[in-house]
Amino acid sequence: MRQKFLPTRPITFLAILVLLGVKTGAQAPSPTPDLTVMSLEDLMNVEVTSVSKKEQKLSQAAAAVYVITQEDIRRSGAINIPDVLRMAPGVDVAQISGHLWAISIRGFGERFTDKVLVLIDGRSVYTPTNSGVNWDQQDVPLEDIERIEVIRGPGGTVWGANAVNGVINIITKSAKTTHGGLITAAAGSNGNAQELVQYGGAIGPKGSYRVFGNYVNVGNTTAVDGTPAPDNWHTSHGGFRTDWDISRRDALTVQGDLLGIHAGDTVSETFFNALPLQATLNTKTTVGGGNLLARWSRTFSPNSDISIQSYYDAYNRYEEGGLENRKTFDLDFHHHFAAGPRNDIVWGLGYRVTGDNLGPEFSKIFTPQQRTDHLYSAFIQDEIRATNLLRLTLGSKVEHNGYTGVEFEPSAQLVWTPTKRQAVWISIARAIRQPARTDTDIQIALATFPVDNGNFALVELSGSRLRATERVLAYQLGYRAQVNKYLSFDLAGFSNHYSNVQTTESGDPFFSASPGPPHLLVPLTFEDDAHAWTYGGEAFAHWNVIRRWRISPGYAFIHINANPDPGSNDTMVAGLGGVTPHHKFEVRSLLNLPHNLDLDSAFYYIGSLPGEGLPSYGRFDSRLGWRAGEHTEFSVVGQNLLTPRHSEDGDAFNLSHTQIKRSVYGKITWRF
Amino acid sequence: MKMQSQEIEEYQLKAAFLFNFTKFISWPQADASSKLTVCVVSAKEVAGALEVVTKGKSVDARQVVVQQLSFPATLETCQLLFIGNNGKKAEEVLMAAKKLPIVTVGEDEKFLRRGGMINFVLEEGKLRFEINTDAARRAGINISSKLLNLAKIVRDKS
Repeated sequence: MRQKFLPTRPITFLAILVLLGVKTGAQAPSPTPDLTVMSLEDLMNVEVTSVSKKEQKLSQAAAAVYVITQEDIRRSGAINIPDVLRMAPGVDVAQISGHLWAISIRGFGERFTDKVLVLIDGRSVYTPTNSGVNWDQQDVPLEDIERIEVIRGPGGTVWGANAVNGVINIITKSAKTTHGGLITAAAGSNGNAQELVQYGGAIGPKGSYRVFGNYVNVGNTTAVDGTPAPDNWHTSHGGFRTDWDISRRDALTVQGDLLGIHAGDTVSETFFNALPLQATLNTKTTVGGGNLLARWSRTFSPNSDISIQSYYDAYNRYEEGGLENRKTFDLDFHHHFAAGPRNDIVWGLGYRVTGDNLGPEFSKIFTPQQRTDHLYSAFIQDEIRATNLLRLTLGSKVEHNGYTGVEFEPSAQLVWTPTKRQAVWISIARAIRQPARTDTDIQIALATFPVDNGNFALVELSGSRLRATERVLAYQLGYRAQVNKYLSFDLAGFSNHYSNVQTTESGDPFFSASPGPPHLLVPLTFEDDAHAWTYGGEAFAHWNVIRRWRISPGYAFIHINANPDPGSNDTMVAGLGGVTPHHKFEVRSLLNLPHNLDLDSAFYYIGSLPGEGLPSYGRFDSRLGWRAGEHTEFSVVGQNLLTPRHSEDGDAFNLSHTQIKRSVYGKITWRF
Repeated sequence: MKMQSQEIEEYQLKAAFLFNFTKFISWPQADASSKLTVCVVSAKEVAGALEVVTKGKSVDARQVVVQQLSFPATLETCQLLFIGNNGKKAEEVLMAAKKLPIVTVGEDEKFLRRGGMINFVLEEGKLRFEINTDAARRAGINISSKLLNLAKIVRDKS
């Protein structure tokens, strides 16, 4: 019975062998798998690596955009999102200490950089407590990130307030594409370890799910004097995502997370309500939080769709002796339609309510302790196809917030595509930064010092209730070209004019008896009496030198001029130019070696921070990966290889900065 | 989930799909001596990849032949016609092909609405296809359920 041993589907059998990377007689694996012998089902699983429609849309975008793909993330060897963001030109990532980062776009970087809006799947992670992002709380498993879109320049019209200098949009993979099991385990020097367990599958004929648990432990960094800093930390994180194709036109996504963090910091505190006391303490930081998000979209036609999204986000953050509790609910509606042959319109409405309870910390008090803010917004944007080669986009967002009332964020962009492979764009936009609790409601005991008669003086910094909105008027210009199949490059330049920039005004000292004992009070107030002008540009390219080797160089430069307005006695604003590196250069190399090996490296040069007393530094990361078979991948990664330790940022207000160490880790990834 | 190590271009994948389509479609009045001709208009790279894929192959004992056409041209000899996006005459070619028993395949979101039979769609980096079964029935084309099961089925709007 000969037929018993003949593979009934010879084509599939061969296809499986090909996919396993097994040599089928030839000397070396051919450059492309043999599509001619693959069955229809196998073809449906192949991933196209050429430019997708979304990327084609991005190549015609009237904005400075940089897309970090899943492959960029996998081959960077990064273990957290801040390290991934380093590769985007124009983004400055400075690690302050074990679990704290200062991440900014086009200047003004600090722990709570207040000019960059960060979203994860449409959920804003910019906290209105201090106008910034708690990066340690953004622990998305890197394998689940589809891509990160980094938009440099104001995103006020579509994204709303606080997207003054840019938007970082982190998009996770649909559950439809993460069926099966995924286990990763990494361990390295310094006690760093990470474990991810994830499983996904189908729910009935129309749905997909994935569930994961992630645990990360990071060892301590080094204090400036060489001793270990008490800032080791660990994160436990669990979450899920489900995606449903309810009908041909309707899609639903529901996703959620629960997260817990334990970390340590070294802080310098001044105490109000005890004996006048200043101390440097090792404190504990604990975070617990979670979120739930649902998004429904209906597609009427390729040019017309609506979507509704809602999320709830809550967290407790115990830091510096005080507890911050915040709950946020958000509801958003978008409608996209074509009005006639030349107009493509998007408009939307949004409502967000956020309530907090900011308990007193060692040296900070918020008055009122609890506050609830409502944000109402509407936006409209019209993309007008003036000619086949010229598109004009006009739009504006209008918001009402609880601090400054009604705000408008209009923008206009023009894109000219002289050929299919080139685009020239210019843009003018206005964006605002809404004040935060730390701008208006905070009182901080900054320092004490003795004065005559055995008394003491307390320097106290307060927020101001009547804050005006910080705004930017940004002019941008860019050029993008796909030279040939192997080389593309992107240039962008900007000139940003900021008004109502935050200042620190000193007032006349006076005697105060409360809280006792009586002391001389030296008041400082956060005001908004400065302006700034920044200009600069970014350039980057992707070059496939040979089929197996891609190089991505990037360069960014910025010049910052900040000055107090007449009538202000601030002395700090003028130094803003010294806390952002003037130049940043990077080169990334991705090399596919034979035998399923990847050798990936990245070199960064970061300019000096004279305002922090920090010199320029170079950073070199390298990764060797081995795809051992259809299911397994091994990798060894070295980070910060150039020096044993280095500083990236200065102290953050009262938080001591530490130095980042050279480190190595090994990782196994198993998919089944 | 498999780990993919090599780069695959969209046009190569489309060519592989087109070749596979021929195995699951039957045409009216086909005879064993004739050839199975796959015609390509406005898609040079797909045509090139198709010639590699179909070299020396036959389907149902009919030799598979690839022909690159420019419009206007006689479409009578075609069994399957792939209309690419790189030309300006896509609509006219489709109008002419609709009158013949030809399987029309395209890569434009309006392709099925204009009367095409099969359309490629890129979804999250993977190539999918949608089939208008009414258009196939009108042309007397019989598509195997094996192919229909992998496709997104589209009907004419009534």
